[in-house]
Amino acid sequence: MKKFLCVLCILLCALSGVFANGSSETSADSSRPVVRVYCGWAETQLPNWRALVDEYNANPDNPITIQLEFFGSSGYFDRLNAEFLAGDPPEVFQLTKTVFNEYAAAGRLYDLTDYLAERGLSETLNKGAQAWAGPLVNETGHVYGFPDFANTSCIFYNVNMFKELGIEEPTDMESLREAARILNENGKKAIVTGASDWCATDLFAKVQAQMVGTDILIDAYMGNAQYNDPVLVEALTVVDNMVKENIIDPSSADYNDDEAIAEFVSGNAGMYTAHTAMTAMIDSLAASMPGFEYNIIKNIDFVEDPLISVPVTWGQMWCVPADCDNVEGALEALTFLFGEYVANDTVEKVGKIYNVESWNKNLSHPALRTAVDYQMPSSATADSFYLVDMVSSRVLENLNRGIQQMIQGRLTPQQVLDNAQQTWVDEQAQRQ
Amino acid sequence: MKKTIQERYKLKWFELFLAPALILYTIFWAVPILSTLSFSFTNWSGITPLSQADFVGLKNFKQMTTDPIFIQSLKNNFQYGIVMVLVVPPLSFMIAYLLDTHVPFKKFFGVLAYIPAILPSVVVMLLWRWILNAQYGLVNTLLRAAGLDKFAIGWLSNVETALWAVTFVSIWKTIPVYMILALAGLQQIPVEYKEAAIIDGANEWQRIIHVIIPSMRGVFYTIFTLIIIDVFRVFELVYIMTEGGPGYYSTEMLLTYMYKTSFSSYMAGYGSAIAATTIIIVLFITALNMKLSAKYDEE
Repeated sequence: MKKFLCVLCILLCALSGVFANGSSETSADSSRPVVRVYCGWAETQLPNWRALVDEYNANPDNPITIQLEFFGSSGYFDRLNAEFLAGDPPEVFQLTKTVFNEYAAAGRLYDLTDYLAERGLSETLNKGAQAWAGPLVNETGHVYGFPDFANTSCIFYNVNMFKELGIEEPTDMESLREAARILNENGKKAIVTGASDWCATDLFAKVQAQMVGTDILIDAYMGNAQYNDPVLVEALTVVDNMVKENIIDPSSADYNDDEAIAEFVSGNAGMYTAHTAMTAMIDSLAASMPGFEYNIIKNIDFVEDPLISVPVTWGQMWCVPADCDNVEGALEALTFLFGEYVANDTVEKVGKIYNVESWNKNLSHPALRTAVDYQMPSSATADSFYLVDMVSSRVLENLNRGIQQMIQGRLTPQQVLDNAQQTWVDEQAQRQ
Repeated sequence: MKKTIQERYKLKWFELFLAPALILYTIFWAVPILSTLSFSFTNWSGITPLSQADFVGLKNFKQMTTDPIFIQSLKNNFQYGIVMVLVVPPLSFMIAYLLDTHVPFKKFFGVLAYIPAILPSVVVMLLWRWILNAQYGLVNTLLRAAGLDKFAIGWLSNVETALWAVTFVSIWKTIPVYMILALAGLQQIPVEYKEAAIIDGANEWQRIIHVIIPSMRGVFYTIFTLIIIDVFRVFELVYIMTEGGPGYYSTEMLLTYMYKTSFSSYMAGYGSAIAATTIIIVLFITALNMKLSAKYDEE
């Protein structure tokens, strides 16, 4: 027994020594405040940031130490929620638009309107992005997050295949139909997509944005309109007709993004529809396909007199908690991470599209360059909001599943949207 | 009767050694379960402070009775559970029996059969997702090679086959665990019983039915109880392979729906009610299983 107690005492002493050493090291490094920055993405999605942050931290003139943590989505929101509930959230964190809406509506985010004005960003930050950075119903027009990188909803096409088959870049439904016909006649699928995931709803978003814009989405979210509104049914019918006419290949219902991209890159399909964030995945697959060259269609009108060119996801939001203890430090971290220095490096090395036009000057990726030059300027309004980010996660899932079944020929557009509306009604009843 | 000093001393040590486990159990099991139960009577979102949530009584539970996704999840869970309960125990027993009596190099094949159980779940699910892929999956490639093109379908993207495919993968992954339990049970049967049956002229089938299976009643009871608990705990299998799809929730299970409700839709109160209901269902079925087993033992 005595021996046991002695061993226990020694172990406790040793452990206390370890902790004492650990804490002394921390205190030596903490001469300036540490600002925790949580990124929901994996480090591979922003591979240059770690080095840039290290460089910032190494400079003794900088007022804070940035502690950057990447999560790679798994467990990110659970951790963030837990820290919020424990009253110790990070000073800066990234939120997807749908989650951001919830946080902003719950009053948990710091108002960044004055901060943007002081940095002169109220003028230069894309107007569509600024509207995006508020809660869904934003009567004051205030901004509660810094929208990071834009992605336009687009159709990628195989440049060489189009050249070889003499296909012109489509500009409207008629020319798209013609392009699909030529591709099909040559044994190729026209448009493929990963409809087992959110790309199903992306198809719908493309037409909806051109036909009716954002207001109806906000109204439906607020209960002042319905997701099965005739105009939305009409928009989805355009997609359904594209499937029936073989413009969108029906096998897309079985594909996830990897599979659809594989079809596109391997030359089985002439076009792939998604949004520009998929360029990274296309590039990684295309690396093993010499001679494969692609771009995005500059502008395609699915309807007559479209309201805007394309829907845009103006990015994920970088936010500061409303009750942040160190607002100055948090804003300093935001200023560094979303300043021109980091932007230039990120545009060049990672190929991200920033919401400040001048920061994209070094962007060289052909498809992304097309998005910046042709699509973003014509969509810089609040009507460009991306449907995928404008509905609750449950409605989005319901739409994805429904459109997937529509592509399989099991449901009509009306049924898909009736189900989506019912899901939203049920969800609201459960929330109350 | 008074306890001797020695007995009291032993009892204190016993309590002392039990304490860490009891504390851990309380922190990581009892407290979360009781918290979940208490959250289920609120409309807590999960992202606002709990103090801002309202007490809503049984509203969440009432809401579940008209929630089509919950009802679909419950149906799927029961369909999956019934197949698992009907298929896994007999198959586990058959493999264990073959390994124990008919297969040479028992240890080698035993280890081989156990491999699916030791592989990380995520790896297994991703592997099977590839095997069952509609375009380039192994299953469809083999079917096409055999000229059976019409059977080469999207196993995980077709609403009619997805739940069966998921169940099949679960059976493949689960059987080795129960096979080991069955093997242990088989090896505990006294050799004399089998020898006596042989002397009495019983053939192999008669020995299995009348000697081996009745002798393994305790093991089967354990297997059934564990499977019942397992089928209502199914989460990563569905979340990784199908995310509850394809179509309208054709593979959604109670826990995947609970997770999405709590952590994607931010309805922690309603999600807790789903979790509480799942706990009640598992407790009820397990209690029923215990009662039936006890009744059978009495007879």
